[in-house]
Amino acid sequence: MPQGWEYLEDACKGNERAWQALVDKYQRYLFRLALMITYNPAAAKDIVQEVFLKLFRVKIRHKGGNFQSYLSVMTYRAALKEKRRALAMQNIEGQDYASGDISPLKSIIKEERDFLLTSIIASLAELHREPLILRFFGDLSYEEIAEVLKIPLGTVKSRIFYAVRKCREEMLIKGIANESLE
Amino acid sequence: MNHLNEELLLKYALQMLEADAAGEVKAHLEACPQCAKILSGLQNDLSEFSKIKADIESWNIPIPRCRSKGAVLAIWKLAAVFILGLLTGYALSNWTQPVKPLVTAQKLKPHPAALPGEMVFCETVDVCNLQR
Repeated sequence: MPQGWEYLEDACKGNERAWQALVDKYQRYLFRLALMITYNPAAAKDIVQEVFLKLFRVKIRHKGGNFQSYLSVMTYRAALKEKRRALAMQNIEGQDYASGDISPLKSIIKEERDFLLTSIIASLAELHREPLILRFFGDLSYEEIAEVLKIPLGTVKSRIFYAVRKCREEMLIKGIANESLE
Repeated sequence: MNHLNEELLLKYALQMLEADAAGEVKAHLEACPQCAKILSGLQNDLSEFSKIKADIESWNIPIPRCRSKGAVLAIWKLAAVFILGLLTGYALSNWTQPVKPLVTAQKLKPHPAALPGEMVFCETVDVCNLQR
Protein backbone atom coordinates (compact mmCIF):
# COMPACT_ATOMS: atom_id res chain seq x y z
CA MET A 1 0.00 0.00 0.00
CA PRO A 2 1.38 3.46 -0.91
CA GLN A 3 2.75 5.59 1.92
CA GLY A 4 -0.08 8.13 2.23
CA TRP A 5 -2.70 5.43 2.67
CA GLU A 6 -0.54 3.74 5.29
CA TYR A 7 -0.31 6.97 7.26
CA LEU A 8 -4.06 7.38 7.05
CA GLU A 9 -4.73 3.85 8.18
CA ASP A 10 -2.40 4.27 11.17
CA ALA A 11 -3.95 7.65 12.00
CA CYS A 12 -7.40 6.05 11.91
CA LYS A 13 -6.18 3.66 14.58
CA GLY A 14 -5.33 6.67 16.74
CA ASN A 15 -1.64 7.03 15.83
CA GLU A 16 -1.05 10.76 16.33
CA ARG A 17 2.44 10.68 14.81
CA ALA A 18 1.09 9.22 11.58
CA TRP A 19 -1.62 11.89 11.54
CA GLN A 20 0.93 14.64 12.09
CA ALA A 21 3.13 13.26 9.32
CA LEU A 22 0.14 13.29 6.99
CA VAL A 23 -0.77 16.87 7.89
CA ASP A 24 2.85 18.08 7.62
CA LYS A 25 3.29 16.46 4.23
CA TYR A 26 0.15 17.66 2.50
CA GLN A 27 -1.21 20.68 4.37
CA ARG A 28 0.65 23.44 2.50
CA TYR A 29 0.36 21.70 -0.82
CA LEU A 30 -3.43 21.47 -0.48
CA PHE A 31 -3.63 25.02 0.84
CA ARG A 32 -1.93 26.33 -2.28
CA LEU A 33 -4.28 24.37 -4.52
CA ALA A 34 -7.36 25.69 -2.68
CA LEU A 35 -5.89 29.19 -2.76
CA MET A 36 -5.46 29.11 -6.54
CA ILE A 37 -9.15 28.32 -6.92
CA THR A 38 -10.73 30.53 -4.26
CA TYR A 39 -8.19 33.43 -4.00
CA ASN A 40 -9.21 33.57 -0.37
CA PRO A 41 -6.60 32.52 2.25
CA ALA A 42 -9.14 32.06 5.07
CA ALA A 43 -11.41 29.95 2.89
CA ALA A 44 -8.44 27.91 1.63
CA LYS A 45 -7.45 27.13 5.22
CA ASP A 46 -10.98 26.00 6.05
CA ILE A 47 -11.05 23.83 2.94
CA VAL A 48 -7.83 22.05 3.91
CA GLN A 49 -9.20 21.45 7.39
CA GLU A 50 -12.41 20.08 5.91
CA VAL A 51 -10.51 17.76 3.56
CA PHE A 52 -8.47 16.28 6.40
CA LEU A 53 -11.56 15.70 8.51
CA LYS A 54 -13.37 14.19 5.55
CA LEU A 55 -10.58 11.64 5.19
CA PHE A 56 -11.80 10.17 8.45
CA ARG A 57 -15.50 10.44 7.82
CA VAL A 58 -15.79 9.15 4.27
CA LYS A 59 -15.48 5.49 3.47
CA ILE A 60 -12.68 5.23 0.94
CA ARG A 61 -13.12 2.47 -1.60
CA HIS A 62 -9.85 2.50 -3.54
CA LYS A 63 -6.83 2.67 -1.29
CA GLY A 64 -4.41 1.55 -3.96
CA GLY A 65 -4.46 4.75 -6.02
CA ASN A 66 -2.33 7.83 -5.76
CA PHE A 67 -2.99 9.35 -2.34
CA GLN A 68 -1.91 12.85 -3.37
CA SER A 69 -4.23 12.80 -6.39
CA TYR A 70 -7.05 11.66 -4.13
CA LEU A 71 -6.44 14.61 -1.81
CA SER A 72 -6.12 17.00 -4.74
CA VAL A 73 -9.48 15.96 -6.16
CA MET A 74 -11.14 16.30 -2.74
CA THR A 75 -9.61 19.74 -2.29
CA TYR A 76 -10.50 20.85 -5.78
CA ARG A 77 -14.16 19.87 -5.29
CA ALA A 78 -14.38 21.52 -1.88
CA ALA A 79 -12.73 24.69 -3.22
CA LEU A 80 -15.06 24.81 -6.20
CA LYS A 81 -18.05 24.46 -3.89
CA GLU A 82 -16.75 27.28 -1.71
CA LYS A 83 -16.09 29.46 -4.75
CA ARG A 84 -19.65 28.95 -6.01
CA ARG A 85 -21.03 29.69 -2.56
CA ALA A 86 -19.02 32.92 -2.35
CA LEU A 87 -20.14 33.85 -5.84
CA ALA A 88 -23.80 33.27 -4.95
CA MET A 89 -23.39 35.35 -1.78
CA GLN A 90 -21.86 38.20 -3.75
CA ASN A 91 -24.70 38.09 -6.26
CA ILE A 92 -27.25 38.24 -3.45
CA GLU A 93 -25.47 41.22 -1.94
CA GLY A 94 -25.51 42.91 -5.35
CA GLN A 95 -21.75 43.05 -5.76
CA ASP A 96 -19.97 42.38 -9.02
CA TYR A 97 -17.95 39.21 -8.89
CA ALA A 98 -14.39 39.88 -9.91
CA SER A 99 -13.20 36.43 -10.94
CA GLY A 100 -9.62 37.55 -11.47
CA ASP A 101 -9.26 39.60 -8.30
CA ILE A 102 -6.23 38.22 -6.55
CA SER A 103 -5.55 41.19 -4.28
CA PRO A 104 -6.32 39.14 -1.10
CA LEU A 105 -3.29 36.98 -2.00
CA LYS A 106 -0.77 39.79 -1.65
CA SER A 107 -0.17 38.95 1.98
CA ILE A 108 0.34 35.26 1.18
CA ILE A 109 2.23 35.27 -2.13
CA LYS A 110 5.08 37.61 -1.30
CA GLU A 111 7.52 36.98 -4.14
CA GLU A 112 6.78 39.46 -6.91
CA ARG A 113 7.47 36.92 -9.64
CA ASP A 114 5.08 34.43 -8.03
CA PHE A 115 2.40 37.09 -7.67
CA LEU A 116 2.78 38.11 -11.33
CA LEU A 117 2.48 34.50 -12.40
CA THR A 118 -0.60 34.03 -10.23
CA SER A 119 -2.21 37.09 -11.78
CA ILE A 120 -1.48 35.69 -15.24
CA ILE A 121 -3.13 32.39 -14.35
CA ALA A 122 -6.08 34.23 -12.79
CA SER A 123 -6.60 36.17 -16.00
CA LEU A 124 -7.25 32.98 -17.96
CA ALA A 125 -10.81 31.92 -18.71
CA GLU A 126 -12.12 29.36 -16.22
CA LEU A 127 -12.31 26.85 -19.05
CA HIS A 128 -8.52 26.92 -19.38
CA ARG A 129 -7.55 27.85 -15.85
CA GLU A 130 -9.06 24.87 -14.07
CA PRO A 131 -7.30 22.10 -16.01
CA LEU A 132 -4.05 24.07 -15.70
CA ILE A 133 -4.46 24.35 -11.92
CA LEU A 134 -5.30 20.67 -11.60
CA ARG A 135 -2.21 19.79 -13.62
CA PHE A 136 0.37 22.07 -12.02
CA PHE A 137 -1.02 22.59 -8.53
CA GLY A 138 -2.90 19.33 -8.06
CA ASP A 139 -0.30 17.14 -9.85
CA LEU A 140 -3.06 15.22 -11.60
CA SER A 141 -2.42 13.31 -14.80
CA TYR A 142 -4.27 14.28 -17.97
CA GLU A 143 -6.44 11.18 -17.58
CA GLU A 144 -7.34 12.09 -14.01
CA ILE A 145 -8.22 15.65 -15.04
CA ALA A 146 -10.47 14.30 -17.81
CA GLU A 147 -12.26 12.18 -15.22
CA VAL A 148 -12.65 15.01 -12.70
CA LEU A 149 -13.84 17.58 -15.23
CA LYS A 150 -15.84 15.00 -17.20
CA ILE A 151 -14.37 16.07 -20.53
CA PRO A 152 -12.48 14.03 -23.18
CA LEU A 153 -8.74 13.52 -22.79
CA GLY A 154 -8.02 15.39 -26.02
CA THR A 155 -9.96 18.40 -24.75
CA VAL A 156 -7.96 18.39 -21.52
CA LYS A 157 -4.69 18.40 -23.44
CA SER A 158 -5.76 21.13 -25.84
CA ARG A 159 -7.05 23.34 -22.99
CA ILE A 160 -3.87 22.94 -20.99
CA PHE A 161 -1.74 23.55 -24.04
CA TYR A 162 -3.69 26.73 -24.82
CA ALA A 163 -3.46 27.87 -21.18
CA VAL A 164 0.29 27.29 -21.00
CA ARG A 165 0.90 29.05 -24.31
CA LYS A 166 -1.22 32.00 -23.21
CA CYS A 167 0.59 32.18 -19.87
CA ARG A 168 3.94 32.06 -21.61
CA GLU A 169 2.98 34.90 -23.92
CA GLU A 170 2.05 36.99 -20.89
CA MET A 171 5.22 35.92 -19.11
CA LEU A 172 7.27 37.10 -22.08
CA ILE A 173 5.45 40.45 -22.08
CA LYS A 174 6.09 40.88 -18.36
CA GLY A 175 9.68 39.75 -18.73
CA ILE A 176 9.52 36.67 -16.56
CA ALA A 177 9.88 33.98 -19.22
CA ASN A 178 12.81 32.54 -21.07
CA GLU A 179 13.09 34.03 -24.55
CA SER A 180 12.22 31.76 -27.47
CA LEU A 181 13.60 31.58 -31.00
CA GLU A 182 10.38 32.90 -32.52
CA MET B 1 19.39 21.45 -39.99
CA ASN B 2 15.71 22.34 -39.59
CA HIS B 3 14.80 23.36 -36.09
CA LEU B 4 11.70 22.18 -34.28
CA ASN B 5 8.98 24.74 -33.79
CA GLU B 6 8.17 25.93 -30.30
CA GLU B 7 4.67 24.47 -30.34
CA LEU B 8 6.08 20.99 -30.85
CA LEU B 9 8.69 21.54 -28.14
CA LEU B 10 6.03 22.79 -25.74
CA LYS B 11 3.91 19.70 -26.40
CA TYR B 12 7.00 17.59 -25.78
CA ALA B 13 7.70 19.44 -22.53
CA LEU B 14 4.08 18.92 -21.48
CA GLN B 15 4.35 15.21 -22.34
CA MET B 16 1.45 15.48 -24.74
CA LEU B 17 3.04 13.78 -27.74
CA GLU B 18 2.41 10.20 -28.77
CA ALA B 19 5.34 7.83 -28.27
CA ASP B 20 6.45 7.92 -31.94
CA ALA B 21 6.44 11.72 -32.18
CA ALA B 22 8.11 12.04 -28.80
CA GLY B 23 10.85 9.65 -29.98
CA GLU B 24 11.51 11.77 -33.07
CA VAL B 25 11.71 14.96 -31.00
CA LYS B 26 14.05 13.27 -28.56
CA ALA B 27 16.34 12.14 -31.38
CA HIS B 28 16.43 15.66 -32.80
CA LEU B 29 17.18 17.19 -29.41
CA GLU B 30 20.18 14.93 -28.96
CA ALA B 31 21.65 16.30 -32.18
CA CYS B 32 20.54 19.93 -31.87
CA PRO B 33 21.80 21.95 -28.89
CA GLN B 34 19.84 25.02 -30.00
CA CYS B 35 16.47 23.24 -29.77
CA ALA B 36 17.58 21.56 -26.55
CA LYS B 37 18.27 25.00 -25.10
CA ILE B 38 14.80 26.23 -26.03
CA LEU B 39 13.28 23.12 -24.51
CA SER B 40 15.22 23.70 -21.33
CA GLY B 41 13.85 27.27 -21.17
CA LEU B 42 10.30 25.99 -21.68
CA GLN B 43 10.74 23.39 -18.97
CA ASN B 44 12.02 26.09 -16.62
CA ASP B 45 8.97 28.23 -17.33
CA LEU B 46 6.66 25.31 -16.71
CA SER B 47 8.35 24.53 -13.44
CA GLU B 48 7.67 28.12 -12.34
CA PHE B 49 3.98 27.28 -12.02
CA SER B 50 4.68 24.59 -9.46
CA LYS B 51 7.14 26.82 -7.62
CA ILE B 52 4.64 29.52 -6.69
CA LYS B 53 5.07 29.80 -2.97
CA ALA B 54 2.25 30.55 -0.57
CA ASP B 55 3.78 32.00 2.55
CA ILE B 56 1.82 30.42 5.34
CA GLU B 57 2.80 28.88 8.63
CA SER B 58 1.59 25.35 9.11
CA TRP B 59 -1.26 25.18 11.59
CA ASN B 60 -2.44 22.50 13.89
CA ILE B 61 -5.19 20.16 12.72
CA PRO B 62 -6.06 17.88 15.64
CA ILE B 63 -6.57 14.22 14.95
CA PRO B 64 -10.30 13.56 14.60
CA ARG B 65 -11.99 10.80 16.51
CA CYS B 66 -12.34 7.88 14.19
CA ARG B 67 -15.35 5.62 14.53
CA SER B 68 -14.20 2.08 15.11
CA LYS B 69 -15.74 -0.78 13.19
CA GLY B 70 -17.40 -1.98 16.41
CA ALA B 71 -19.10 1.36 16.98
CA VAL B 72 -20.36 1.48 13.41
CA LEU B 73 -21.71 -2.06 13.75
CA ALA B 74 -23.46 -1.18 17.01
CA ILE B 75 -25.13 1.84 15.35
CA TRP B 76 -26.35 -0.37 12.52
CA LYS B 77 -27.69 -2.94 14.98
CA LEU B 78 -29.56 -0.28 16.95
CA ALA B 79 -31.03 1.13 13.76
CA ALA B 80 -32.13 -2.36 12.66
CA VAL B 81 -33.83 -3.04 16.02
CA PHE B 82 -35.60 0.31 15.86
CA ILE B 83 -36.90 -0.26 12.33
CA LEU B 84 -37.95 -3.82 13.21
CA GLY B 85 -39.87 -2.49 16.23
CA LEU B 86 -41.63 0.08 14.09
CA LEU B 87 -42.62 -2.52 11.50
CA THR B 88 -43.86 -4.95 14.18
CA GLY B 89 -45.95 -2.24 15.81
CA TYR B 90 -47.45 -1.26 12.48
CA ALA B 91 -48.24 -4.87 11.58
CA LEU B 92 -49.86 -5.55 14.95
CA SER B 93 -52.01 -2.44 14.74
CA ASN B 94 -53.37 -3.64 11.40
CA TRP B 95 -53.76 -7.25 12.59
CA THR B 96 -56.60 -6.56 15.00
CA GLN B 97 -59.51 -4.88 13.23
CA PRO B 98 -60.63 -1.78 15.08
CA VAL B 99 -64.16 -2.06 16.50
CA LYS B 100 -66.44 0.51 15.02
CA PRO B 101 -68.43 2.26 17.74
CA LEU B 102 -72.07 1.49 17.46
CA VAL B 103 -73.92 4.70 17.56
CA THR B 104 -77.58 4.67 18.22
CA ALA B 105 -79.94 7.45 18.48
CA GLN B 106 -81.66 7.42 21.75
CA LYS B 107 -84.92 8.84 22.48
CA LEU B 108 -84.71 10.88 25.55
CA LYS B 109 -87.40 12.23 27.60
CA PRO B 110 -87.47 15.99 27.61
CA HIS B 111 -85.72 17.46 30.47
CA PRO B 112 -88.04 19.21 32.69
CA ALA B 113 -85.91 22.33 32.63
CA ALA B 114 -85.34 22.31 28.82
CA LEU B 115 -86.99 24.94 26.73
CA PRO B 116 -88.76 23.94 23.53
CA GLY B 117 -86.16 23.21 20.78
CA GLU B 118 -83.22 23.23 23.17
CA MET B 119 -80.64 20.49 22.79
CA VAL B 120 -80.00 18.25 25.66
CA PHE B 121 -76.57 16.63 25.49
CA CYS B 122 -76.37 13.04 26.35
CA GLU B 123 -73.28 11.69 28.08
CA THR B 124 -73.37 8.14 26.80
CA VAL B 125 -74.20 8.36 23.08
CA ASP B 126 -72.99 10.43 20.17
CA VAL B 127 -76.34 11.51 18.80
CA CYS B 128 -79.24 12.58 20.90
CA ASN B 129 -82.73 13.39 19.82
CA LEU B 130 -84.73 15.69 21.87
CA GLN B 131 -88.27 14.61 22.15
CA ARG B 132 -90.69 17.38 22.43
